[in-house]
Amino acid sequence: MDFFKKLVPVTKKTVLIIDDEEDFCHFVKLNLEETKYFEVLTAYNGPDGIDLAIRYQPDLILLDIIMPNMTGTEVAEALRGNKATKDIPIIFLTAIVKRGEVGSTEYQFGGNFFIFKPVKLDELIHEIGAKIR
Amino acid sequence: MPKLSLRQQIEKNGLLLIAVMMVGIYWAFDYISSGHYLTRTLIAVLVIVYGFFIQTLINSRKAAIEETQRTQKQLAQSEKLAALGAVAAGVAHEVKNPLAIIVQGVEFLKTALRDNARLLDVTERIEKSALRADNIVKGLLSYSREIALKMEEMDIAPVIDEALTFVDHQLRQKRINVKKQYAPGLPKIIMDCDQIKQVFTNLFTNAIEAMPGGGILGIRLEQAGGDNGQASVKVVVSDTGEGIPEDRIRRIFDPFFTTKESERNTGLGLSITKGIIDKHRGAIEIESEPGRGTRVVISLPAGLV
Repeated sequence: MDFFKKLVPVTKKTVLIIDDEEDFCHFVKLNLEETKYFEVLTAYNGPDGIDLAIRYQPDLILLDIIMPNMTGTEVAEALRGNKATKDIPIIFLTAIVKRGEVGSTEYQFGGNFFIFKPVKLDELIHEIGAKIR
Repeated sequence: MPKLSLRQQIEKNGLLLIAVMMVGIYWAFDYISSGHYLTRTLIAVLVIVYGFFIQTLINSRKAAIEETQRTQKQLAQSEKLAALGAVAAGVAHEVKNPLAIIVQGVEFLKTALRDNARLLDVTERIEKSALRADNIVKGLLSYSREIALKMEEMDIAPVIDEALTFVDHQLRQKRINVKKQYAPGLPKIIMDCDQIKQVFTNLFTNAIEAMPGGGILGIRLEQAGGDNGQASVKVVVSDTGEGIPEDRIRRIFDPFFTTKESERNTGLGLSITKGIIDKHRGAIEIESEPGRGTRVVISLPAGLV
């Protein structure tokens, strides 16, 4: 399998992670890029994240919910309101909402999905793989 | 009513007994020394009546002090319980983020150390401990938010009044007047008393925070008919505060949305409030206009749901 992977050039998918925890962004970037399937951009606040999203049009955005100054939901609204970024799939990262509570909030967040921190790498990759465009 | 011990009976009626004893002693000596029965009788009656009124005054003062102490104890307990939810959410956020970093860091180390069995074993143990800590935090969240409902049939007015006592200090501090309009003869509600108290404590706290310079907190209780003809009780909590812009009202029940400045406020209060009302098969709506205040309308079905 590895032999074929060497022959066929892999088209890397771009993932943008917007999270105020710099160390978390650092390790997610390391882990995803280690797989050789992803190129990861990082932003530590909402405005920078929106700027990167418009500029680089990533294939998926991992978006922390609770951030100072601009929350993840406000960032998501801004991205949905921009023609360049409105169709980029978003996965919310949350340390507070529990799995059982997602059902009542999915509609309010326009059907977006959640990853609950802390998250293991294989689960993270599985969720990204399922949602990425 | 529990039977009082002899000591408690003497304490309760002490002054009256002393008055009676004094009258008896006075009567005995005076009877021996003179024959004025009418004067003696009048004095005796006056002393006994005086003793009776003083005793009643002391007893009612004692009862009032005990009631205040009981209420303050309940208030302290309820404040602790109400604070637990906010503390749990705050702790969860502050602890889960570092845990998430540890887990991601360990994942990278596992990949890097996959050829070294000993070091790989160490990193796997670290990962296991981090995930165990995560489960403990999840348990804390569960305790604070998924407490099973203990339903009982009761009047809602005393529950609301008790929630008011929890914010009494803040009302007085901010010079906020409370205007209550309770319709008579309201049907009883099947409810979890503690959770409904939490709902109204949260609403009162929001109203108080919207009126930093004082104002009026209005509470109206009335009977209403439900959609299916079932009777319900409507509670309207209103304030004369800053109001909420329309574009924010539609997100007011979002779990992480907050109109409050503090970045530590996780915005979970109203989402939890709505969750409790939903569990009671009720409804909650918010009407607000910037500069004119806010009205929160809660409807709870009466009787069996």
